[in-house]
Amino acid sequence: MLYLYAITDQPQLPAAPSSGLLGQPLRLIEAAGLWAVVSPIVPKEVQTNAEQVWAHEAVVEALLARGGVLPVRFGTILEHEANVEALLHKRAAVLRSDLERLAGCVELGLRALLLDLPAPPEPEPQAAPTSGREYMLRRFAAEQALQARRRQAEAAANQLHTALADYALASVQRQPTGERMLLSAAYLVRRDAINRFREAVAALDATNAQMQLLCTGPWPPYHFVSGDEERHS
Amino acid sequence: MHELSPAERELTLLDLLDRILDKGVIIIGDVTISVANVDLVYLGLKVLLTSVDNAEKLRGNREQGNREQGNREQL
Repeated sequence: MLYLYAITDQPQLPAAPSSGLLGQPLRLIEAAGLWAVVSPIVPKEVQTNAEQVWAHEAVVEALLARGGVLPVRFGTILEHEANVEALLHKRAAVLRSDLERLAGCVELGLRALLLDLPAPPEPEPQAAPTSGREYMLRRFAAEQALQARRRQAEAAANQLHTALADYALASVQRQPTGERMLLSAAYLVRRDAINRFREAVAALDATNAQMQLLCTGPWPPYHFVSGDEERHS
Repeated sequence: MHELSPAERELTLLDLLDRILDKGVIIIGDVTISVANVDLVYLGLKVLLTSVDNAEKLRGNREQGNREQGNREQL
């Protein structure tokens, strides 16, 4: 069984790390002028934990530092070397065009978080509502104010995304998770434009008092490889 | 990426999981043995993340950094 990390146009493995998940040695499988980076694996030993996920990522990042790389989703295992070769042959055209399109590029992640949400309404001892109706009205007003503030912040976050997309070759918005998250996005940026993008984020962060911007990366271009539409979800 | 506060490291891990478990080249076929629980774990994480208040955690950690260090010394 072979665990698959990435597909690359590099005919050599990076110097480090020399091993992948569970300390297994990395090796290359070549077909159709493409290289798959794999290591032996016992499927039931694969666990979705931080250690193994970072081990996968470390291999992909080492490849990214040297040249073109298409990261493969965590947990992909093929039975035989022949299966890997067949996969490279079958997808060669798309893989090659992706490697060409993504050459010299990295992905940057961005989250915008709403700051200073008003505290939930608390019962005020000195001004207790005189009726259930009054209490409900107060609650309603507080909720309305919160929603209005959130809508305004969401609009600002969307404007911010549009502004940052100008600094990127491509961009993807993810579904934000958590009630404070206004924006979760990924941007494809040329390696030599990383600093320019980060400076743009810092400038926007400084002018947006209502939200906090968090930029992560550089990541391998996970969000920008082709074939996501083939996923049956 | 290596001089990060614990909260920022946590956020980086969340960002990694959003990528490594959900994106990248996806290979589905007879010859592929995807680890069956990856999708389930990711789904579970998304539910977890929805309940995690990252902003507060990040701000809290920045402000409480010194206090936490104090607490640790007492332990």
